[in-house]
Amino acid sequence: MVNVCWFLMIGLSFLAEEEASAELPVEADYYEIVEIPAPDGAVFEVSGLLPYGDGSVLFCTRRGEIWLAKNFYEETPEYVLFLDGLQEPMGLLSVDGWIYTVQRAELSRMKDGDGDGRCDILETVCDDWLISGNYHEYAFGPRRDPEGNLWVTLNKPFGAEPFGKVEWRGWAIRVNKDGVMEPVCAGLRSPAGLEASPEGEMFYTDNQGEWCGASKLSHLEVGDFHGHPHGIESAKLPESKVKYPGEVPDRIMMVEAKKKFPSLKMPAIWFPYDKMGKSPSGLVWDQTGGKFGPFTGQVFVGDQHHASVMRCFLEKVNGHWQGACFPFRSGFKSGLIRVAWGEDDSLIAGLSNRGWGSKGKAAHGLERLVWKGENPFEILRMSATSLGFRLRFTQPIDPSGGGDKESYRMESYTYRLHSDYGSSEMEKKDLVIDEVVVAEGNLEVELIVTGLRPGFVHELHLPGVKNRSGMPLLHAEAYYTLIEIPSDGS
Amino acid sequence: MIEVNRSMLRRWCLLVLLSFSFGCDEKGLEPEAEVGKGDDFKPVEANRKARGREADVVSPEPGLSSAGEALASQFSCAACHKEPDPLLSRIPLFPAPNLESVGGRLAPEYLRSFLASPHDIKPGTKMPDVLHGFSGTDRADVVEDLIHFLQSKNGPFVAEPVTVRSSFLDHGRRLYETVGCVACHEVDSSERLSKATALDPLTAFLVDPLLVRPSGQMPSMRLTEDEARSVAFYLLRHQADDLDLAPDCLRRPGLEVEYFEGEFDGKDGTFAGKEPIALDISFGFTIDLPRKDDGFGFRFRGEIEVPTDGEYTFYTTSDDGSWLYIYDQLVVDNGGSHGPIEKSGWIELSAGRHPITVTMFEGEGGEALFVEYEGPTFDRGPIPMEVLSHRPVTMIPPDVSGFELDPVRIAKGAVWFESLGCQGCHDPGRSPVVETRPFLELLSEDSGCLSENPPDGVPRFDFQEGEKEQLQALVKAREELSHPRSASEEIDFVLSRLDCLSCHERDSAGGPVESLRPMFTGIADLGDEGRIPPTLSGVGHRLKKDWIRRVLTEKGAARPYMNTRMPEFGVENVAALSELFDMVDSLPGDDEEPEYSAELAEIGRMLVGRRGMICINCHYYGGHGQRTAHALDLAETHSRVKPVWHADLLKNPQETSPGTRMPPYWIPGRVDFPDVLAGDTDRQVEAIRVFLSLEGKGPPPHGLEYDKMKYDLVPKEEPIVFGAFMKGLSARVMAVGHPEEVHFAFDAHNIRLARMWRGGFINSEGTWHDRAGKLESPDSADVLTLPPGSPLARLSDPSDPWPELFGREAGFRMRGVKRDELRRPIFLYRYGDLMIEESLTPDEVGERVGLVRRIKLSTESEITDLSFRMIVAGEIKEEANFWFATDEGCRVRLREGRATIRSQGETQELVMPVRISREDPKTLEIEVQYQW
Repeated sequence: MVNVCWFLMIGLSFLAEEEASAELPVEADYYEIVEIPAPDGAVFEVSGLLPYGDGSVLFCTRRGEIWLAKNFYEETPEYVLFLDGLQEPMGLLSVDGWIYTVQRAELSRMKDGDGDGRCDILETVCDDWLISGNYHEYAFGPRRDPEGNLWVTLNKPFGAEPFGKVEWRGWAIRVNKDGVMEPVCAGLRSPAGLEASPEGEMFYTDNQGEWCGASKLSHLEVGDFHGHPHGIESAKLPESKVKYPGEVPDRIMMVEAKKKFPSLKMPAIWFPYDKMGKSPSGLVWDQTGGKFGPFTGQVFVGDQHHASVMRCFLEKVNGHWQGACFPFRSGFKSGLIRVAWGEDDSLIAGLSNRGWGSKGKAAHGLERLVWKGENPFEILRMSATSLGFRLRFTQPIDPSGGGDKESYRMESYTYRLHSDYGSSEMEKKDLVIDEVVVAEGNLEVELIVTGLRPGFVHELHLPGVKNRSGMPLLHAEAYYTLIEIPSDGS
Repeated sequence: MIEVNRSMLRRWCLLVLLSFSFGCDEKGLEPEAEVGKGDDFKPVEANRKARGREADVVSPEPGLSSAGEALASQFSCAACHKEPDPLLSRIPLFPAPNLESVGGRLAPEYLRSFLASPHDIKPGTKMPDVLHGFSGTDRADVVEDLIHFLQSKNGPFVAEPVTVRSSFLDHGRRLYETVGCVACHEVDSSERLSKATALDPLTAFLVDPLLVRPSGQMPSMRLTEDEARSVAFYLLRHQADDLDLAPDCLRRPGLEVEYFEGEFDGKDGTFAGKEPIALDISFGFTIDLPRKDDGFGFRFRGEIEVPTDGEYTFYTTSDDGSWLYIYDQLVVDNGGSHGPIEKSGWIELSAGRHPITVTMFEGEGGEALFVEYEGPTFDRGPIPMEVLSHRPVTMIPPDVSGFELDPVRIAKGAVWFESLGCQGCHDPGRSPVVETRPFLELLSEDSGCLSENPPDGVPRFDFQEGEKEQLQALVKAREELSHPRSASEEIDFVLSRLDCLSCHERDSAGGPVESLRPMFTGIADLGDEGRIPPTLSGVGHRLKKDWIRRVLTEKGAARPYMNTRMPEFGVENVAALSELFDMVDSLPGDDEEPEYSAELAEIGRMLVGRRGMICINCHYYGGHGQRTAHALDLAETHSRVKPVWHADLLKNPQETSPGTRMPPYWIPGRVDFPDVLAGDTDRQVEAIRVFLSLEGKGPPPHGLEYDKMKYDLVPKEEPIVFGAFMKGLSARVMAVGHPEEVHFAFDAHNIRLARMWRGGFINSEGTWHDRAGKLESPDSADVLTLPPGSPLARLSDPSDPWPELFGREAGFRMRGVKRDELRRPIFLYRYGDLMIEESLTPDEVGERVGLVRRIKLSTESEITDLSFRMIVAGEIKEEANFWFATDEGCRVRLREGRATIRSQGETQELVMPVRISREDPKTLEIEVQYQW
C-alpha cells in the first residue's frame, strides 16, 4: 500500500480541503449516480449493454444470461430472461435486426423469431478461434467497422490451460461478412473494452500487467503489434495480418521498443496506475450533442477496480491518435465492465467486481450516471502544441491565478516493456513552465514548457487555477500521453 | 510443594515434602469463598451428591479407595496428620487459595459473614470453622482482626460502579451454561457472589483461576479476558442497577465506539494494553469520526440483530487491519498492515441479537473501513443502522463505606492467622509451626475432626453426607498407605481429585449425570459424540501420548463442534496423566505406522476426497471444508490417534467408537473401490493413514471447497442451459438440465452429445465463483458416457471402422442453438452439406426416466453411405421389444428403423445405416430412446 504517488494524491486532496470551505463542489453536484433496482436474489454481473428502444435495455451477464429489462429508466423495471446458456458473453451489438454477442469461443447472433419476447434462435457466426479452457480467455466485442467487419478482442490466458495452448490469444480479430476470421492485431493482453469511434476506427482498452506497463487506450489498425509477446507466434500463420515482429526483448523502454519494432503501436492514452484507475474496461464516445454536459466527442472509459468513469480527450498528431485523460466520476457501487448511452442520454454502467474486487463494494448491478444540467469547472481539452500544451476550460478562469506559472506543475515519465507485472513510472522528470498565456476570453491557456519528451506521460497539476467565483477545478489534474509532438504552427 | 518428575513411579519415590506443623489443632482458615471454585454455588462435593453420585463416594468398606484418598487430599488432612510418614506421599496436600491479594478481591462485609459462619454462608466448603470454640463476643472480635489482616493484603477492597454493555449478560450466561461450569457448579448461581466481590477482580480470577487456586480443582476454562468479563457479569448480575435489564427499554441505537491512538502492530484486534482516549456512539461501522489521519484505531461494540437462524457471512474491507468478532469468536480476520483489502468469514447465528465487535487500526497512508454482511434471507450489503444497538448497564459493587484499615487489628489478625493455623493450608511453605498429629487421631470418637462435636480448638468441618465414612474407612486401612499406588490407581486418584469424571466416563464410571446432560451442547448434528466429552476408557490405546499431553497442558481439545471446553488444571496437577494412560491402556504394537510411500499417500488422498469416500463431506481438513458436520480435522488425525486404533475405527467405526456418527465404509461383502490397491481393505486403510501422516502438508483432498451449495443449479420450471468448461470434454460445453432430473452435456467444441446423467444437475461454482475457469462435472455418479467421436460418419463400406477424426477435422461445424416452445435447446450443426438438428427430451415412457434423442437430417443431395452410431460398449445384446442392452447397463431403442450391432476390435457398436433419397422431402428424422 505504500505508494509514494498515492500519498501525494492524498496529501493534495487534503490541501485542497483545507484551503476551501465546505462549499467545494464535488462530482455528485453535476453527475448523479442512479441505481437500477433489481429483483431479490438476481445476479446481474453485467458484461454487455444494448439499449433496445421503448425504454428497454438488453444486457448480458458473466453467468451467460441475456436479460431484457423493460421500463429500464423507471422505478420498477421488469426483467425477462431473454436467453441462458451462453459462455461468458462480453458484449452486445445490434445489426440489421440481429443481436450480436461474443462468447468465449464464438461470435453469435440471436433473435426473437416468434415474437414472444424471448430469444429462440442463436446462430454461430464464427468460431474460428479456440479456447484452451483458461479462465482468462475472455472474448470482448463485437464492434463493427464501416466495411461491416465485426471486431473482437481475445484475452490471453493466465495460468493453466487444461486442453492445451491455442493460437490467436492476445489478438484482435475481425470477422468478415462471410463469417471468416481475420487476425488483424497482435500483442494485446487483457483487452476488456472495444469500441468504434464515430468515424468507425477501432479502439480498445488494455489492462496493466506483464508486457503491459500501464493500462492504456490504444488505436487498433490492421497489422499492429501492441507489445505483449504471448500470442506472437501465431503471426507466422498464413491467416495473420500482422507481420511477425521478431523476438521481443525483456526490459526495454517503450520509446526504444518502438524504434526496434516499427509495427509496435504506441498507446493513445496511458492511464497512470492508481492515479486514474487500475483496470479500464468498456468505453464510449460522447455523441449526445451536449445532453450529457460539455464533453461531446470525448471518450468515457469505465474502470473495474476504481468503480469509476474516466474521461479522455483524443487528437490526431502526425497521424497518431493521442491525448489526455482526466478523472471524471467515482463512487459507483461496483466495478464497471460496460458503459453505454441510454435513451435519455444518461450513461448506463454495467457492474461486476467478481474475481478482482473494486472500490465499490457491491458484487454486481446496474447504475446510470445522469447529468444534472450544470457544467462542472473542468479542463475541457488538453492538446499538444509544438511548445507545450493548450488547455481549454469549461468556464472562464480568473486570469490572475490562471496566468501565473506557479499555478501549474508538470512532470513526465514513461514505461518499460517487460515481463514483470506492470511497470513503475520510469525516467521521471519535472518540466519547467516557461510561460503561461491566457487567451480566448479566459477560456484557454497556452503553456510553454521546456522538457517535452515524446513517448512520455505528461502529468499536469493546476492547484492555482480558479474560476471567476474563486472555485478550483473539480479535477485539477490531467495526464497527457505525448507520443508525437506537433510541428511548428500546429 | 511437589516435585514433578517424568515418571509417576519415580515421582512418588522422590517426592520431597516440606515439613511443617501447626501450632494448634485447628485446620487452616480457608475463605473458600474467594470468588473461586464453588463460587457462589454449592461447591463440588455438595453438587456431586445433589446429582446423585453418592455411589461414587460413599463406600465405607474398610480399605483404600481412590475416592477416599482424593477426599482426604481435598481436605488436606495431611497438613496436620503426618503420621505415619508415608501418608503425604499418597495423600498430598490440596493447596488452599492463595491469599496474597485477597484484600482486593473480597469485600470486608462478606468476609465478616463468611469467617463467622463458613458452612452457613457456603455449604460444602472444605474450610473448617476454626472459631467455633470462641464465645460470641470474642468470636466477633477475632473475625474483625482477621478481616483487617486480610484486607491489608493488596487491599482494602474498593470498587467503583462500572458501566458495561448488557449484552455481556447473555454472552456470560451462554458461556457459563455451555463451556462446562455447570458440570461442577449450580446451574443458577445465587446472590452470594454479588455480595462478595466485583467485576474486575472476578474477571481477573476467571482468566487464570490457577493463580489463586493452584489445586486445579477450579480449573481454567480457557476464557479470554472478554469472555471472563462476560461470565463475571453474569455471576454478578445481581449488582446490576436494573436486574431484569429490561432489555429493550435500556437499548440504545448505534454502537459504542472507543478511539485509540498510537502504534499498532496489526497482529491482533484485541488492542491489549491500550486505553481508549475517547468514547463515542456511532450509527454504523464508520471511521468518519473525529480522528487523526494516521496512527489511530477504533473499536466498535454493540449488538447486531439478525432475522432468521442460519449462516451469516461478514466482510470487512480495511486499510490497515480490521477484525470482526461475534461474541468472542473471531469471524473476520483482516489483520496486518495493508491497503484496502477484503476478507470475510461466516458464523451460524440464531434469530435475535448477538454481541458484535469490530476493531480497526490505521498505521500510515490511506485509511478505510467497510463492513458488510449477507444472510440466508438477504444479499450482501452494508449493515443497516436499524439492526445495530447497545445496552449500557451499571454494576454497583458491595458497599465498603465505613471500613478503614486499623493497623492494630491488622497486627492482631496476623497473629490470629498464624496461631489458628490458617497458613498451614493457605501458605504451607511458610513458618512450619503446626504440630504433627497421628493419622489415627482422626478416628477419635470424642476429640478428632471426625467426631460428632469436635471440642474447642479442633476444626469443625461439617462434613457432607458420606464424607466422614469415606475418611474413616481410609484411616482404618492406614497400613496400606505405605505402599505406592499402582499406575492404574494413580489415574483413578487424579481423576477423582480433579473431578474429571463429572464430564468424562472411564471404564463405566462417571460421565455427566442424567440431569446435566442437556447442558452439554454442540454446534453440529453429531449426536452425543458432538456434545458429550469423550470417554477416557482406553484413551491411552486410542490417543498418542504426546497428544494427551498437549490436550492437558497446551492445547485444550480438538473437537471444534463441542461447546464444552476442556479445562486447564495446571501442569503440576495433570502432567503425569499422559504417561500413566499410556502405561495402563496401550497394547503392544499400538504405535506401528504403515510404511510411507508417495504413491500410497496419493491413493489415500483420492480415498479421502471427492472421488473416494468423501471423508471431507463431514471432516475438516487443515481448517477448511464443509460447514455442517464440523467433524474433526483430518490434518490433525495423525498426530492425535494411534495407527492401530485408527485402522480399527475406519474398518469398524461402531465397534471401535460406540455411538459414533461415522458411517462404516468397508462393509463386509462389498468392495467399493475394487481397482484401488486390488480392493484390499487393509491396504486402503493404510493408504489413508499414510496420506494423513502428511498432517495437512501437500495438496489437500480433492473437492475441498466450501460454500459450493449456493452454486447448485436446480432446474425448476424450464430447462437450464449452462455453458462451461467440462472435465473430460472441452472448454465449450453446454450442459442442459431438466426438472425431470435427467440431464445431458453437448460438447460444442467436438460437436457431439457427450454425457447423459440422472440425479443432481450440476454445480456452477467452478464457473461462477471468483475468477472461475474450473472444469465442471455432472453432479451425479449415475452418468452415461457416450463414445468419443462423431455420431455420424460416411462409411464407403459398411464394415469400415468408425473414423477416428471427429469434430471440425471430420467436417462438422456448429451452426447454433434453437429453443423450442418449452425452451429446450435444439443443437444445429452441419456435416459437410448435411444439416443436422439434434435435441434431447426427458423420456418418461420407459421404466425409469431416460432421454429421447431426436436427430433431424436434411440435405440437398442424395446420401447413401451415412451411418449413425448410438452407443459403444464392450458387449451389446438385442433384447425383447427392439431394445438393445450394453454390458454397462445402458439400454437403447430406435423408434423406427433397424439398428445393427458391429464388432470393432474389442468393442461393439450399435449403428444404423441412413439413406436419404433424391426424392422429396430430403429430410429424415431419427428417434432413439436411452435408458441407463
